[in-house]
Amino acid sequence: MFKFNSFVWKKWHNIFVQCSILFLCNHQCLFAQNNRTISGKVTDGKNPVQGATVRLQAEIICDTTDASGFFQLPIKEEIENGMVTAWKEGYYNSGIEIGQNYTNIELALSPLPEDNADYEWIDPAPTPILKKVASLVFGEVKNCGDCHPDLIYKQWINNGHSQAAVNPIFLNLYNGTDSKGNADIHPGYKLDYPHSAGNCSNCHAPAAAVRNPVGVDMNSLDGVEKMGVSCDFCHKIKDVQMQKNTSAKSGIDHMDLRRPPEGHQMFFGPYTDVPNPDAYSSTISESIFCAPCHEGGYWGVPVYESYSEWLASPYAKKGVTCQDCHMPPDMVTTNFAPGRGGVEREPMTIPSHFQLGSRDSTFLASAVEMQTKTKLSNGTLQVTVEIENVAAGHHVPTDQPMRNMILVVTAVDVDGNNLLYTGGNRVPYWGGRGDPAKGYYEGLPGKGFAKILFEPNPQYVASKVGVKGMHLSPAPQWRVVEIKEDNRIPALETDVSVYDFQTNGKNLPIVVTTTLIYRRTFKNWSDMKKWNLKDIPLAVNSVQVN
Amino acid sequence: MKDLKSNIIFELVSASVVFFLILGCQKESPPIPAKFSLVIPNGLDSLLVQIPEDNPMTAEKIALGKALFFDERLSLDATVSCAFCHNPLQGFADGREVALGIYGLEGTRNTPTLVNRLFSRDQNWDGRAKSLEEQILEHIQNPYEMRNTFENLVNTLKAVEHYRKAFQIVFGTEVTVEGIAKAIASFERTLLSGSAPFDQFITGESGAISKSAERGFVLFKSKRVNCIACHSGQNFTDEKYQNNGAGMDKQEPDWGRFVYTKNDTDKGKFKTPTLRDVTRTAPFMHDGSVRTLKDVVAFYNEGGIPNKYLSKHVKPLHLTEQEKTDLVEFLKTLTGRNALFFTEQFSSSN
Repeated sequence: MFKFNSFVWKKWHNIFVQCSILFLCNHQCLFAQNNRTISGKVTDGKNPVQGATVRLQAEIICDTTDASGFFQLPIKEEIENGMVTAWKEGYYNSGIEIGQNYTNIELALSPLPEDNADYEWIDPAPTPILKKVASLVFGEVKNCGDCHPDLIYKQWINNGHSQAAVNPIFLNLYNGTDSKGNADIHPGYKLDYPHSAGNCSNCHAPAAAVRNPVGVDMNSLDGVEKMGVSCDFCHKIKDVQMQKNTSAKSGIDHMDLRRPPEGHQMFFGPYTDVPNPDAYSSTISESIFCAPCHEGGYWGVPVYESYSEWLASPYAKKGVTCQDCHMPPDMVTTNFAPGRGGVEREPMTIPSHFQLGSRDSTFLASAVEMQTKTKLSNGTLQVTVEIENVAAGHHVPTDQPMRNMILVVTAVDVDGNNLLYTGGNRVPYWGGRGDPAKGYYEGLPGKGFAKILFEPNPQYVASKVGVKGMHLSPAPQWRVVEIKEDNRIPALETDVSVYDFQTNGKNLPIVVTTTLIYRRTFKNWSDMKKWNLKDIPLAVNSVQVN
Repeated sequence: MKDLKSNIIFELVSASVVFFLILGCQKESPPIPAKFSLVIPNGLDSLLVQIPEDNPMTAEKIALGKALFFDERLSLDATVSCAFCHNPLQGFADGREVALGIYGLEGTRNTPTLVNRLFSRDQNWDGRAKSLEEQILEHIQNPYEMRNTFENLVNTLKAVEHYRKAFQIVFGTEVTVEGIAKAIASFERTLLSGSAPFDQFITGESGAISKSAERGFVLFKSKRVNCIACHSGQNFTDEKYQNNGAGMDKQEPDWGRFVYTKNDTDKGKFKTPTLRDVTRTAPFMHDGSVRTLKDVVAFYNEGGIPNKYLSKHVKPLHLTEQEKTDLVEFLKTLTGRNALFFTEQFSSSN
């Protein structure tokens, strides 16, 4: 299990962002003058290829071929066991070992395959021992985890993407069940649309969805398709096109996949210097790569908006991508396939596959900072709470609208009594109605942050599923909803809220405590579904007023 | 009122009872077509019904049509049923400006109500469908509505046992597209709105509508206001096409019936809708651009929206505030008592 350390992230973040331009967007060349060179030609098998990026593997220095396909790379010292690599848009990466001869090196590029719908997806998990033994007889099995076991696979298997198709919360919402297995518990997609498989699979089980668009029942998955957003799937995406009206399309609909024909393989990655079957893709390092599944809606209503939130944020202008924060280098890995053809690289050039999200409390907490100020005058204690979105390149909370944040403000006098609250801001109904000690915060001095969907015309639901599911509020995103309110905090912006308490000026000191928590789902939903989800504390301030 | 309500309930309930009895029958006993007599509510004229000769109404067929009407499997991804837009609880419309279809795609026109289709022949705002049956088939295929193909639809329904049985009973065939359309159309022909307070008033029941509404009715049929020029007859429509200017001020206006007939004289013309149950089908006009009945009266008071093809019946009316209120009050008396019945009937049938 990998725990992300926010300290490391904060320390390295700026350096990383600057360096990433240098290392990862590595078809842009840095050319240094030097006397000793390696030179040669890049062809497509017959004709010279112009504009190919050529580099020494895992080095920064590179060159772009001219009209005759010629390249020249400066070197500092003699090279042993080095490799020259080449790439151009539309081709696989190509590589050749450098021998004794430093000139007339010829690199041939082969074109990318057309997409093959019959392709069989690779299993991410390392091959079990028994199968390995069998493979000695029946031929080799190569799963993702066989070559990238310790870091990349383990990072991925512990993140949300690997669980996308089997996450019990997701399946409870899909089937209309609860965590104890009871049926007919709203909200449930299948309760509202009993005959529809839905387009959930477009993102939650993309490998299945491509064989049967809008027809894959999430309960019918098997094998690799159950592995969610798997290694092989993402690394088969050549390009992403996002259209303005995203409502009619989602997930796989936006993607240009390249699944190779039988007997061939193909992976897209952020490197031009990993030879065939890999190919460089600039998209894989850009925010738009994540957009198909983190931007979209139902019935014309934008539900998931992380990508457009990012687009409108200062981060987009600075060029800080989703991957920069959600896939930061672990600063440990120097070789992503040790002993399996991988080479030693700068740790900074190897993105982790943590894909950090709402599962990681430390990561979540690093997104916001809270300050609490107090003012005592004329018998009134005024508490001002400033919550700044300091590190998320999108709103907090974001993505699935059931994610929410709740601020609770308490002021207790020296005798341990709560001060009388005279202000207006209170935790909304979805903070939960009941005993505050048990996490039901509705009505307490405080505030809720969320995008709230509601159903303006619940009559259709009533005529279909009866009144039981009708008045569910906040409403689930698959219904015909409208956005009632959206007070989430955009990137680098600050929410300021004020809370007034009555005090007689005695009974000092007063202790003001402000607590900001994150919930993965609304309290009333988690109660109905019997999900035992813990509140994730993001920030706590305690101020003593004398 | 109670009589009518219980009558219709009896008819429909008996229809479905017979239907399920037949489903439960043994194979050897041949299905007997259940006798079906349609109850025409007070105020509607049974001589004006439009039932195609090749699609007589039977109890089993109506029951099958009702099941299909509420079945989302009619659409490609099984999310959009007929009732999705023609929601019984919203006057068999959807309360939206323009229709919402599969994948959340928006259409271009407001969803019209389904009540009293029994008295109309041509369907859609532009009258392009020559029958309810034709209209149903078109909307199943419409890429902005159900986006389905006939082949896929038939295959989907064939996989459902009770549909296979029902088609055998009703049509004596496999599941067919024509059968789907005929059954749904037959069900839709049972959706009738009459016995409104206005109908009681017009048959001499004093006090059935308010004084204000009575004054509104006088205005409605007066030469000066002349709503009745188009909203005429028992169903408050002449089933003809008019240009009242709605949406004509848009940059690219919807040319309505012209798109279908290509006659210049049809530019911007849309079918006169029924005013029965009109309180339940806001917003109004073919593009849903007018939100309330008050706004509708104001719209006509202004003389519609001027354009080259504006109907001669639409002209500034110079109504007083009281007259405007009276007209709205009158329109409110056209909502049938069976609106309540529909609400109860369909909200309890899951």
